[in-house]
Amino acid sequence: MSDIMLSIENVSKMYNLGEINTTTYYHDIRRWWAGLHRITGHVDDVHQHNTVSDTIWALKDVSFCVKQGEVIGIMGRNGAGKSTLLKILSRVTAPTLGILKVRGRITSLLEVGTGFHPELSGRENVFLNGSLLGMNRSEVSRKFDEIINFSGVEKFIDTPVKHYSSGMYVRLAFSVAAHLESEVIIVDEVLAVGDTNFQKKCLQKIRDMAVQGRTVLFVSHSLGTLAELCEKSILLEDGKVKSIGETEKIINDYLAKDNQGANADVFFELKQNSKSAVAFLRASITDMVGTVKTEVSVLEEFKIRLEVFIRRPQNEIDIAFRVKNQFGLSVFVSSCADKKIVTEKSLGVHTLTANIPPHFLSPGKYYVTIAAHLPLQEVYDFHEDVLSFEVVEYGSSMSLYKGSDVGAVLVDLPWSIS
Amino acid sequence: MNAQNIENTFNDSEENWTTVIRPQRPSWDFGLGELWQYRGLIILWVRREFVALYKQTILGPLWHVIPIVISSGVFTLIFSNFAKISTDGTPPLLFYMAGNTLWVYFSNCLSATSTTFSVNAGIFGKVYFPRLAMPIAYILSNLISFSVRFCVFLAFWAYFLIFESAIKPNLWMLLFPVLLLLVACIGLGLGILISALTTKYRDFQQLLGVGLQLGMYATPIIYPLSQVPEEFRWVLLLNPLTPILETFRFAFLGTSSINPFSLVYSAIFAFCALFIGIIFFNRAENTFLDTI
Repeated sequence: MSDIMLSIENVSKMYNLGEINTTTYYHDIRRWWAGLHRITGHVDDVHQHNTVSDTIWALKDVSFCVKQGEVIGIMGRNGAGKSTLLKILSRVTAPTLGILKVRGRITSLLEVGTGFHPELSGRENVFLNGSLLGMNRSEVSRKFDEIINFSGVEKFIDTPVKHYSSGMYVRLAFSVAAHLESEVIIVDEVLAVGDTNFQKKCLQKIRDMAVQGRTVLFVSHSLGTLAELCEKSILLEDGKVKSIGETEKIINDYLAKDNQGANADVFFELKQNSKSAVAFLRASITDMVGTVKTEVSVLEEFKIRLEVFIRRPQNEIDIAFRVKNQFGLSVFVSSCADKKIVTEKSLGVHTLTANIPPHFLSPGKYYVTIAAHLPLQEVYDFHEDVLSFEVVEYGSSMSLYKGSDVGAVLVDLPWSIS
Repeated sequence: MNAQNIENTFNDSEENWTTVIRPQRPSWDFGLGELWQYRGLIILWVRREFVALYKQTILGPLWHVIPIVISSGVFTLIFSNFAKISTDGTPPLLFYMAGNTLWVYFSNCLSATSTTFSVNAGIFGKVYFPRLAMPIAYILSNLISFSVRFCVFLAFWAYFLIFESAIKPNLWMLLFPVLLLLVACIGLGLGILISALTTKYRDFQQLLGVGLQLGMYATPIIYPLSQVPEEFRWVLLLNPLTPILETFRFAFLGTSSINPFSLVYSAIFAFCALFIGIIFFNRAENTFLDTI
């Protein structure tokens, strides 16, 4: 069992809500009094004895272990407790209950460039940032050339970082963090920075870390990157661990909202007091004759139908949808704006239909996000991953490749031979 | 034998983990060892504080000195020449400078450390390091600017010593490092105490501004202790800085009423302030991110 690098045991975190003002003096005294009689133990015990109701449990009884050399993805929707977990792991805030045990040093790249001082040169900042992240001076000196090479800002290393472009700044900061020698590393969305080339370099760097036997905890909203990097993942929901397992399975869990499976016909309630210019009434996936379908064949043409209520018509109103595949990759976006079908005269209830051609989406699960908005100005109505459907295989030539990666879409290209 | 076995198994299960994060660190765990591990960081911060402050200025580090020379000059003009407050026979400029040098160090330490949590909330929210490293770096970087000012004071002092012979320095000068340490400890202790309290109630930040302003008058800086009527003197002696300042002036200028016992009081005060300050600071460091 000695290869367990990180062990998290029944960790919970409680936050106090509400503002701090004069009344909190009174609360403080009451809490202190309650504290004298507090019964320590299980979460619920404390919860019962805490008479103050303005508290929230951001994490509840979270337990898991991470082994050496594992790259673990952590996913969950906003508010699921990801950031809280990371903050506790990086020792920025203390858990309310539970214990975390770490073997070796743990560093987090929560936000690169923390502690950079704009007036100091790149070189000075490398040393400052390095020691902030727990390296000592000789370690930084030893790795200095490597850090600078990786960042690609050699020329400007003696310039104050306030003159750096934001790209250079971030690259230098990531390089410092990436060259830490700690055994456990927490990466949070840092890959959203820099150009594609640098992002690739970073991903490679993270892979290398795992090969060297270091443990990486990776948090991202980009499911594609998670699938690519992590063999195992953890799904958090409402502060609890919902599932742990192979990344592909976890991503499916994540996307299968509330475990209802396919949902190809959704009605929306029209809010009485809403003043929004456009509101969705219904969204559905149907075949060409209008029957709702949760499964469509690869060879079949089908429709995405959106029923909208337009309260204040305008020429610029755009109604659009986005189709994501089971890896969270956005396959395509389609908008009605180009077709100029919504005009200033379209007051009332309308049905918009988009035909999805046959032999286009490759077999798999898909999720549809719908939106009505005034481009760059106002979002009227928005529903994320509200529809889901499956494209299935009925004996086309594709069935030979079942289970293998055939790409996000199938394209019928005009081949020729001469 | 049995006890030893238990001890061993205990060790086996604990020694494998380098870090164990628990809900609340015990208050008596000051984490001084860890602080020592991070000394490199402290040194870099000291440098950063000192250097970054005067980048892009023409006079640079001279700005550490200019305010104190000007204010001592103004004090001489107003309190000595206009108001005719006695300086116990010492050259007024030197008298005010001595008081100012020490007081400015104290008030700089206090105001810098008292903002530890509010100013560094961003960095504290992202990386872990022993939080005490920050206020200690403030104290040390202020120590550098203090020594610059102290050198200027020494220059004036040497001038008066050689050309005016109005001052009688003595062996109490050897106590100077101790005096400085006491000032630093009181500044640090009170500063981190206030910074810990500020995480919850910002009122303390405002209170500090008023406190420092009044504190300057409650410390014999613009007047010697001997000028204070007997019946009010005990009030001033409650101020732990009074004995330190009086000793400092006595050592370098030779005139003052010194009482070794009150210096002991300052030392006890400094120790208590530091102790209570660290306890509050450590408590705040666990929870401040949730409250600030």
